Amino acid sequence: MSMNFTNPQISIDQLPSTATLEYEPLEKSFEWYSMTSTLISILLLEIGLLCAIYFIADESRQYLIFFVFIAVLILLPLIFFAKLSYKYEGYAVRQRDITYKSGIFFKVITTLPYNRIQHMEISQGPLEKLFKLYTLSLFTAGGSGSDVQVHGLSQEKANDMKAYISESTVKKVDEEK
Amino acid sequence: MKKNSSIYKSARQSAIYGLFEVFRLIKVFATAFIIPIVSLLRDSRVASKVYYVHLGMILLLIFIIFFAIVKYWRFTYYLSVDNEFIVEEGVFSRSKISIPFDRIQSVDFEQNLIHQIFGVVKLKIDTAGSKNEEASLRAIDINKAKLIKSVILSYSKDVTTVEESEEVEKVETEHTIFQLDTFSLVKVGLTKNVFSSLLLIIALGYQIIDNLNQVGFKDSVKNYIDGATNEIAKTDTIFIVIVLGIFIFISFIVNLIRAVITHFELRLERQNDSFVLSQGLFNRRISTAKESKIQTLSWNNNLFEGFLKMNELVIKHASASEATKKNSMIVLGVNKMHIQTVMTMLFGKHFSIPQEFSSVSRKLFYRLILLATLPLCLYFGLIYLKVLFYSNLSIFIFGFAVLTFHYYQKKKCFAIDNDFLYIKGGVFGYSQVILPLHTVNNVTLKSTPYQRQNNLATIKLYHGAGFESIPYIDFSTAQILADFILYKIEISKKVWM
Repeated sequence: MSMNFTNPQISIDQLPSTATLEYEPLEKSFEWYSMTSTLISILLLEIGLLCAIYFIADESRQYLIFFVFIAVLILLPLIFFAKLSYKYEGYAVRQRDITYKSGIFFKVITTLPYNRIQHMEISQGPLEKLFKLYTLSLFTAGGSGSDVQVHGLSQEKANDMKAYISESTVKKVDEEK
Repeated sequence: MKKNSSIYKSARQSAIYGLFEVFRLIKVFATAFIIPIVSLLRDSRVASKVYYVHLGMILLLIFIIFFAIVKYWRFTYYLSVDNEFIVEEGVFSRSKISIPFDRIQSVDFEQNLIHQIFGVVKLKIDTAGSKNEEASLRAIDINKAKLIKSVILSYSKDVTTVEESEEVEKVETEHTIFQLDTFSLVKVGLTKNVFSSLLLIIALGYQIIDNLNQVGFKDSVKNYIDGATNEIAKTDTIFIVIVLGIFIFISFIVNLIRAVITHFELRLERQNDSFVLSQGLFNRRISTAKESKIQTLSWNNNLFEGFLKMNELVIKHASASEATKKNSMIVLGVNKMHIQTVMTMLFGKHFSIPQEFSSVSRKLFYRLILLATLPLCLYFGLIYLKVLFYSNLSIFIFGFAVLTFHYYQKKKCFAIDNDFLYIKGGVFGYSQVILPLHTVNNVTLKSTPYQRQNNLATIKLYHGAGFESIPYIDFSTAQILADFILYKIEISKKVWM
C-alpha cells in the first residue's frame, strides 16, 4: 500500500506452523455430553416420525416393530460417532491465536487470531449444566461465519482462556501505541 | 465541521415519515386481516350490520394515524459530540442506539418516487458488529442527510491518521470513475441473466418437444417433413415456434426493463477516501463505503459480457448481515481500464496482479463428477421402478454438468504475494477476487476422507464480508498458505474495519 513500508523477508520455513500443534483435549465429560445430546435430539426426531407413521398411515401399524428396529439401527452408529468425535476435537492456544479442530471424517481446523476478536462470551446450555461444561464463543466482526466456539470446557478453563485472550489483546494494543 | 451545527441537536425526521408509517401499518393490518374481514362481509348475517365493520375500520385507521404520529414524535436522532450517531425511538419505552463513527461501514441513501417528490431520503447506516446494529431513518431532509454523511465519513480515528501520514494528499477530491451511458445500459440489460433465461428456454422447449413425442407428435412431424401436408401438425409446429419466440422475446424485454430501472444513470464516484455508487430510476440508491472498510475487490463476467468486454465489478465492505448482495457495491458494465483505476485507488500505484497462478487439483473434477452421478443413479433407479419415464433431458443435463465441472476446475486458480491473495475462477465466464490479507478474520483448513487420501485440502478464509475458499490444493500448500496468512494478520497494524 505504501512506498516506505518495510517488511523484512521471512523464509516460509521459519514461520510458526499450525501443523505441529499439540491439541488439548476437551473435558472428559464432554464425551458423555455429546452422546447424550445426540441421543436426545435423534430420539425426539425418531419418536416424532414413528408417531406420524403410527397415526397417519394406519395400514402400516403392523410393521411398527420393524420401524422401531430401523430407528434403533440408525441411532446406534450416530451415538458411536458422537462418542468417537470427542477424540477428534481439541483446541490449541498460542500467544497470538487459537486453533480449534473437529470432525471425524470431515476434518475442520480453524485458527482465529486474537486481534480479530470483537468480543467473547462464556455460555452454558441446560444439558451442559448437567455435565458442568461451558462453551467459550469468540465473536469476530462481520457476520457469524467466522465466529469460533470452543465447546466442552470446565468453568475454570473457560475463565482462564477468556482472561488470557483478553489480556493478550490488550497487550497487543499497548504495544502499538 | 462546527459542533453547534443543527445535526448535533436532537431532531425528528421529516413529517413524511409519519405518512410512511401510516402506509406501513395499513399494509401490516391489511395483510393480517384481509381474509377474516372479507369472509365477515360475505356472511349474510353480517350484511345488514355492515356499517359496524366500516366503523371498526375507521377506528382502526384513526388508531393507526395516532400511533404513527406518536412514533414520529418519539423518534429522534442526532450526532453526539463524542462522535457517535444516536437514534432514540420507541412508542411505549424508548430505546437508544448509539453507533460510534469508526464502527460505521457504509452510509446508504435510498429514494423512491415519494421521497423524490418531497426531497427526502432514506438513510441507512450499516455497522459490522456480530449483533445487528443498524440504524435506518426512513425519511430525512436530503441536505441534512448529506451533511450527516460527510461528517461521518470525514471522521477518522487519530490512530489511522498517524499510520497513513505518508499519504499527504488529503485534499477534498471528488471525481467520477465510471458512468454507465444509456447505450451501455441497454447492453447490460441484454447480457445480464441472459444465459440463465436462455438455458431455461432450452430446457423448457426440450421438455415440451419430448412430451409431445411421447403422445405421438413425432409422427406428425415426420409426416410434415415428409411433405404430407398435415394441417394439424403444421399449425402445432407453428404454434410452438411462436410461443417459444414470444417467450424468448418477453424474457429479453423483462431483463432489459429491470436493468434499466435498477441501474439507470449508474455512476461510481470517488469522494475523498470513499467510493460512492448511485443508480436507479424510480428508486434511487446511493451507497457510500469508506476505502479503509473495503474487504474485497472482485470482478466477473458471463460469456456474453465477455464478448462485449464488459465486467461486473463488486466492491464488498464489512457488514453485520451476511447477505452478500447487501454489503456489496455492484458496478455493471465496466471495462478493464475502470477496474485498473479502482485498483490503483484502493491498493496504490505499484499494485499489479501476479502473472503466475497455481491451479487446483484435477481430483476436484473427478469428485464433482462422482457426486453428479448419484442423482443420475437415483433417477435411473426410479425409471427402473417405473416411477418416472426416461427423458433425454437427463443425459443433456448430466453432460452440461460435466462440462461445467470441467471448466470450473480448469479455471480455478490462485496466487499470493506479500499483501494479497488472488483467486481466479468462473465456468463459462471469468471471475477474479483480490483479497487483501489484512482483512482476513480467520483461516480454516478443511479435508474430507477423499481429500486426505490424495493429500489435498480446502482452505477457507473468512473476512468481514463473507469468505473466499480455494478447493482441492495440496495439503502442504494449504498449510503454508494458512501459516503465512496468519502471520500476516498477526503482524498487521492496518485498520481492517
